[in-house]
Amino acid sequence: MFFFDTTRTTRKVETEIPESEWVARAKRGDEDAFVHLASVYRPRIWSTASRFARSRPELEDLTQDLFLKMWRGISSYRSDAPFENWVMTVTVRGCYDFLRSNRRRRESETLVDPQESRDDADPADERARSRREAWETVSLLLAHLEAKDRTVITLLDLEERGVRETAALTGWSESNVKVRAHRARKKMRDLFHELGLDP
Amino acid sequence: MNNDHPLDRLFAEARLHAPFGEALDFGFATRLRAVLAASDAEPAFADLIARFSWRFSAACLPLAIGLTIFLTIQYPYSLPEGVGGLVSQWMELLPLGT
Repeated sequence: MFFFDTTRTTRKVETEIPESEWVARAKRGDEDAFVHLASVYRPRIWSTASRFARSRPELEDLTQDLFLKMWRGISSYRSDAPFENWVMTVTVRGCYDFLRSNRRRRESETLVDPQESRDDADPADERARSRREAWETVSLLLAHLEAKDRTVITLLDLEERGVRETAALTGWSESNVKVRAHRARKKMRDLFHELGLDP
Repeated sequence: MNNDHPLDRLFAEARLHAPFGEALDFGFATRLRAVLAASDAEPAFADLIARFSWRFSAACLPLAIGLTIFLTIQYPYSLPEGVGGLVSQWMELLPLGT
């Protein structure tokens, strides 16, 4: 009895609990349940938020704020839609708020990519360098857009989400998303030529 | 959007780049619990004042105007006339030994 591995048993039981049960517990104020859900969805939230942040510390702060928003708002979640949809909606709207509130500061800051030095140290990794340079160029162009346009382009072109999904996540109409995307892409193309980025 | 545009190729490349690496699991639960605990804690008095400071500052101007009008109406003859009168009235309050 004393040699029984309780840790392993607890882990097994935790994985057998359905997500709806974790969500119900979190809604009742169970912090452990919320932390469990947060660690499950963290990679997806991190991935989306990384398209809006300019440095790793900023990304850490942003994701922490998003988790805090979720904790405060989880009681308002209704179980008629998948929990993941609610999580991504809070994430996208939180990222949009972050863009709006930090716009002035962001204009004066430069992009900090921690992978820069690593890629440069390995000249054979041309592919990774090409991706990083593409990301830097896209970030430069996105920085010239309004927060709404930037959010739309990030979701459509970088996250590869559809118009309907983007509209649902942002709470804007589908026609609004289409018009914004069209204008933003035109502005980006013009800027692309103005900055002499043509190959 | 025209698929041949270089911008599309840029998006395709940028999509594959994870700029800040992967999220680290180490210490995540502890940090999150600390943030949740701090958010649940009752704000201190100084925090409450700081939270409302901008509202106070916005309310100060109409309050100051209202107070000035009220004093002018209440004490029409004892208020100083002009800047010189104001200075001489305040001078009387100073302990200059005269």
